[in-house]
Amino acid sequence: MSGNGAFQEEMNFEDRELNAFALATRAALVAVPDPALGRNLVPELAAAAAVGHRDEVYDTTARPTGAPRRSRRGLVARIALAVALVPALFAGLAVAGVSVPQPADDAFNALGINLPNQEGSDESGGGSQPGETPGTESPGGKGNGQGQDKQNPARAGGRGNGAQGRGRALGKRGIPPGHDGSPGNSGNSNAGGNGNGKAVGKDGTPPGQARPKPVPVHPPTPPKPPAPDQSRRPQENVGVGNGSAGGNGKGPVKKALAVVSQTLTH
Amino acid sequence: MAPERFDGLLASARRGDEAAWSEIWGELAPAVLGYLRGSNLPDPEDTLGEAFLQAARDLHKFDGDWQQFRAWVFTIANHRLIDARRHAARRPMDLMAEPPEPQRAPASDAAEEALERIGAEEVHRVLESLSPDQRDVLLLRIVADLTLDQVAEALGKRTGAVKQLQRRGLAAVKRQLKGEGVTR
Repeated sequence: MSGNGAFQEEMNFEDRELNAFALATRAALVAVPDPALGRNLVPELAAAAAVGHRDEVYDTTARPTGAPRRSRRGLVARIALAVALVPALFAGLAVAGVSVPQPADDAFNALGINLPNQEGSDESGGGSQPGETPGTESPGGKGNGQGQDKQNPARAGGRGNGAQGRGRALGKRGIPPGHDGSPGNSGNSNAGGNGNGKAVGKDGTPPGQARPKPVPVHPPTPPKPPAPDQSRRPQENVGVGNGSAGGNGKGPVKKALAVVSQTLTH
Repeated sequence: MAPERFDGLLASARRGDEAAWSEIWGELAPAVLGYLRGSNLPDPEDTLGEAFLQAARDLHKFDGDWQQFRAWVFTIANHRLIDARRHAARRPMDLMAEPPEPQRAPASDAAEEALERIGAEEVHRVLESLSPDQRDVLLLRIVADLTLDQVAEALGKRTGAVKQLQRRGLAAVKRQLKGEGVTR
């Protein structure tokens, strides 16, 4: 018997009958198979084992060099695509009127791209087109160009009401559109209306002028770091410039496409 | 079998060495065939061939010593035995000439003496009186010479359950040998 004698070791064979039965069972059942079966089967067994061995060798040697390379390439492509989509995502969000995080906005600004509808953006989201015929209202209607500056409420808010038509148009840090911080040239004010419009801030104060108490237009946002041009005072913004007042009436989709194409160009 | 010898044999068998497979066949086939014959299969040699072919295909997955290898081969044989039983249950048994009795493996004098006393037919009769689970446990313990744990693994049962089946099976064998009835 080629076994390990487990049955005798574990069993208490004081019972002679059971012992005899176990011996008789082995003698009766254990038998040499037909020799022809062995002759035919042994080569098949060897061949089957060799196939399994080759498959295993292939699995352990070939696959690690081939498959991971493919997957790594795909991973790199996926990561590159994801990275490329991030600017487009921010641009799309900005066009849709969502305030993108300041670092993202700064990154766009560093590239010379001003995202629309942002708190610190020089662009305004809508409003009347400069020089528009009095009495007409641009398709943009109310823009989102309300400037906000939590640190300096005097710079926040303000709505440019043209003599004809309406349009909220505020520039960066609450500076009325077209104002660059220096006393501007007279004339050509177009804060939301036509050239003859008068830019009036919220609560009736001129845009950029300090109000007694700031009334935040949007829900409070975390304080922004001071803008580079902090020395600018509200009083300096009283001049009337010639900036654009709130968009040119393009649809948001076109604007989004323009921004995305601009982003991709950069 | 010495561990070093078995390691060499296993490596050769994995590479497809026919001499190694011939040796494995000679060592294990009689016991596996005995287990299958005791289970009342209509064609035990057919199932024996299937079990060894399965073992050859899966040999690259095996890792262990000679005793573990024996237990592994008997586990495969048990799976093929279950398949053969299901197959036989689905199909009506073919009426064919009874296969020739295989040549008995050489046994010890004590075994020969015991067989003369009990008789091969009596052995078959007693085994048929057992439940299939009891018969599987006793055959794997007596013919395959596996430990309780190895039998439990081969049958997919807990060791305690196997111990219980063995105890009841041996009690049934004792009653049969004394001419009493069998309670399952």
